[in-house]
Amino acid sequence: MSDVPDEHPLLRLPTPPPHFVPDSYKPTWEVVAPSGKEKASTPVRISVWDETLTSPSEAAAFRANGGALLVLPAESTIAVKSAGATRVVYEPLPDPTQATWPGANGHASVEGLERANGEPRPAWKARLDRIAAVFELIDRLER
Amino acid sequence: MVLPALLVWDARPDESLAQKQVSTRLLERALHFQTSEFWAPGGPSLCFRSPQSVSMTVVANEATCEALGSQHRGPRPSAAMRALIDEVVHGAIEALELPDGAAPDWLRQLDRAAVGRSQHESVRWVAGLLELHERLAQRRLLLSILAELRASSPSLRRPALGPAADDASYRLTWSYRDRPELTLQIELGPDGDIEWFFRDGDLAEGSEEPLRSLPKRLHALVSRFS
Repeated sequence: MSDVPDEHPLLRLPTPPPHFVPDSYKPTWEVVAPSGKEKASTPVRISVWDETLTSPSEAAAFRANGGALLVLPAESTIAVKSAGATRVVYEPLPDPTQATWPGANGHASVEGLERANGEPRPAWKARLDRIAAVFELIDRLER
Repeated sequence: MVLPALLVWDARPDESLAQKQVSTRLLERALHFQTSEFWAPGGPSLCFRSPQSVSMTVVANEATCEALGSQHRGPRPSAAMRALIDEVVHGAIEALELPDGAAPDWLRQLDRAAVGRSQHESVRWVAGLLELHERLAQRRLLLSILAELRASSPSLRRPALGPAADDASYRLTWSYRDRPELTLQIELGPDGDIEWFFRDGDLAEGSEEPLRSLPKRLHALVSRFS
């Protein structure tokens, strides 16, 4: 798997979106926390998109369930890695039938977000919280 | 369709007989109308799933707007409408923030998706509290926690509200761009268990295991979000 270039912007579309977001809200650790399914993979990776190859609406089309998504762009891959992620790599979509969909080649994954053995829970959340702060909250995407 | 007529009238002093006649004709149509969107210049809008009845009375230099079970006055129709919107939003928040509060009837007709996208935080807060009210298992305890924290920090900012990824737990999160190093989160499980997390730069603390009551320590931490 090849690394996403450092200067490329990323998109993260976590679910579920909050019911209320105050003015000047800063995304927190849960938007980059691996889901149960992501924790089961080796290595543990969370799904992101290279925004130079995939638009927010294209990324949303790959989600099986309807409903709202948060759109969280990060200015660059290097910013995410500087905040604590170990690697950002392009990764084929798990469903091969989606490989020809618009924007499919922008699918990528962030590594280094799992809770290490013996790592206190607050310390793990704080580590993810610093990475989450790199992402901006732009808007909800209704589908 | 009628509200713009009110606004035209609003900005037009009756200087001539012709203008008075125009104003009168506009007002006759505008006195009682139905609208799905309540709006006045400079204020938030409230969108409904079905049209709501509005009555406007204008006597001399005072307008009275009556709708949604409330009545408000202003020097102009738009000011009366604005006062009504501000007051019903304020009243809805007061009712919805009470752990055992009952929501005003008109809230059932609110277009939650539209209100949830409002540019005005107070209106979005109404939508968020309505979502919370549907989580019967957690609503009372979450609102009690919020009231307890506000008692010690009266100017506490509004937290983000939302379910955890598993949808069973619910979170209150204080996290703002203007306080980039600070995050505080309280998570309530479906059975009333409490978890919490606080970060100040590289310092982090929080619960390792679910708790049965709110730690006193949170009162000191939450004061940093006022």
